[in-house]
Amino acid sequence: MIDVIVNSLTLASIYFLFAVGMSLVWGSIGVLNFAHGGIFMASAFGCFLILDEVALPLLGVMAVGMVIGGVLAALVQFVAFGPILTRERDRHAGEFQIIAAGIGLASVIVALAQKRFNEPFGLSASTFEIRAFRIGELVVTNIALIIIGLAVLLGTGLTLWLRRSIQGTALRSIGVDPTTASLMGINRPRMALLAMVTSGVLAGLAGSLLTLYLGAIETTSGDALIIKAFAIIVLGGVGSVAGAVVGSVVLALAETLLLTYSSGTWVDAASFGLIFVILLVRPRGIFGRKEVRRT
Amino acid sequence: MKEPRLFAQNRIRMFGAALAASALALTACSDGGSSATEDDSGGGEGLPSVITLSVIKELTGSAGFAGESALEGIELAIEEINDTDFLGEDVEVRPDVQDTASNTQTAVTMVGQAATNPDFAAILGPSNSDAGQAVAPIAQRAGIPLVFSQSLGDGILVGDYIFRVNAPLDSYSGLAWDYMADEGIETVSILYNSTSVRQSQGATEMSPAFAEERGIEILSSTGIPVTSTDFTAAAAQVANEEPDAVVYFMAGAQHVTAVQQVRRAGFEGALIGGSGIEAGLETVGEDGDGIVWATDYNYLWQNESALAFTDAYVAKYGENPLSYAAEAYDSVWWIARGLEESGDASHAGVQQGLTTVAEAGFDGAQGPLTFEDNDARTVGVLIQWIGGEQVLLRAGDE
Repeated sequence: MIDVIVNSLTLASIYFLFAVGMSLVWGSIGVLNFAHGGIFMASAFGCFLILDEVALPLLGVMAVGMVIGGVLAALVQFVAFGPILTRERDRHAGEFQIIAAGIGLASVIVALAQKRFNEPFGLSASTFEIRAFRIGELVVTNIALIIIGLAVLLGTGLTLWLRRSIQGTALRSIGVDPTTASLMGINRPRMALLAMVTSGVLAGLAGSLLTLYLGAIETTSGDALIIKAFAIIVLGGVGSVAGAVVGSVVLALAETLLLTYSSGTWVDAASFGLIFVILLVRPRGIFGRKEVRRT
Repeated sequence: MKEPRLFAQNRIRMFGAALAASALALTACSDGGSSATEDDSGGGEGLPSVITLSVIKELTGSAGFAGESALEGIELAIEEINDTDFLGEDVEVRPDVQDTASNTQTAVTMVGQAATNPDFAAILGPSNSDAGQAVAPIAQRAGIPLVFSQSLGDGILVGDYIFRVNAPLDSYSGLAWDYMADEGIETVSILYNSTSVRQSQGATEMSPAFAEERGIEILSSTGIPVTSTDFTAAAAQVANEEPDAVVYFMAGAQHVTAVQQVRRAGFEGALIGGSGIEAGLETVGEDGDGIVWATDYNYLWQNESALAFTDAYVAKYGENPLSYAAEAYDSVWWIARGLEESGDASHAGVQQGLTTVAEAGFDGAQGPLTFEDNDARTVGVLIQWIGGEQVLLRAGDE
């Protein structure tokens, strides 16, 4: 049972690192970013290309991933989401366009990567060596411990930043009422860019770490994770870091238990099943906020 | 005002007559399945001077790496056919290449258009099984020969106009199971891609039969969907079972991850992979050392016809070919042999030629090919990955 828990924690940490950025952007500036998977993959792909030229240690790989992710996310904001949000009267009017733009941009990113190299790719050229440790019946790798540790650190850090810092409060206020936030002097375009870049940095970090952990990913690997992230965000509540943590743990635990004690063919059903149940029982998610409608 | 009305009526009658005459002329000229001709006075035995093959492959997208390799095999075969005047001095084979972008709907549209285009003698169909299942009925209904390389799912060979040059897994996978029996392997655990019909069938239908014949016990068979990114739980489970070997039915990054995580979980026994491991060998690194897999073609094979293909491919492209190239190469040569046999480039003629050649079999890049109901069978080879190099363990024609 202990190995199930540890495996679930590792998987949950991976899901969290991927989903939290998406949740942050959706909850604050109202952008459901379907380019997030493409940014995740492109960050890992960029690390792969750079490692072909120069061997980097783990920190170097993570840094490269985060920079690529942040820059790509900023580009996406400048090129697509920002203009759409500016053009539309309110964020609900631009939602469909945002989704379409995100899907389109992700397709472009994937196509560009496939044009360059269309086989599974990994980061084994890094100087970082993955080691496995056996503690009784339990086997755990150093990269798994790093992923869990970083997820805990980032989860805590993000929560504190959102609750206690001025920028975090400003971001949350945009999520509650963007109009009032603007009237209070909050620069919405600048905060939107901050949210997107933060999300991109997290996607880049997830990309580099996950690729090291799995050994290899493909140019389409981001697509599968988008669905999981969606389930996590719906389960945990949009814009909530705690919700992303809980959602990740619940989904990862469900999948690990299914894989261990039943058939792996039910794993995907777990993701969609959870979305369905939560939408029925608690549509705003475990930690989601109630919407206030003015009459 | 009768005169203008009469004039208008005459004009209508003249126009109608002209239309009818045109339709008659077109009907007289058309042939239900003729192939492209730039000059009907072409080569010997009634073949036109230009024979066009519609090539509909995944050149981009998730299956792009397979499609690109296949296209190289196709272009090599066409070059050889033309350079050697295989079909006659004045007969040229040309490809009309389209990219499905690994999208099934796009493949359906393309095959639908190709099937009604009298310029095409035959279609070289997409590699993806989903696309194959969708397009095969279209080609069959239209009565145009369609030859698949890959597209190994069920429900693809729907009629006598559909052909496949790829052998099913059980045609050559016995090599791997014989190897396991020879090595004294008594127990195995299986990990497979549950999303792929072919991989699932390999794991759940083919493997139990092979295992039983050789007295090998299957301890577990775990299906993992292609969307799963982490196999730690499955790998731990497999390692705890302590089988003599772990058998994989996977492809792409999944294969790499599964091999690495099983090793990290502490498993030290034999690894038996699928042919999909080839694309990830460099990435899997030391963890994959010793992995063995059976495949329908490998560049190390010394079979005469396989070696001829390998040498020609290396001379043209400067690198070793993948099995996708070998399979697609054979698909073109099958059509060429069929054209030579029938001397008729109409759809019916090509179909008849392909069927006749299949009855006799031929030696191709995949070695000696035989056919059952227009579906290829091959003897295959067994390859091992040792110290960063591929090593030929045994060949099915030995």
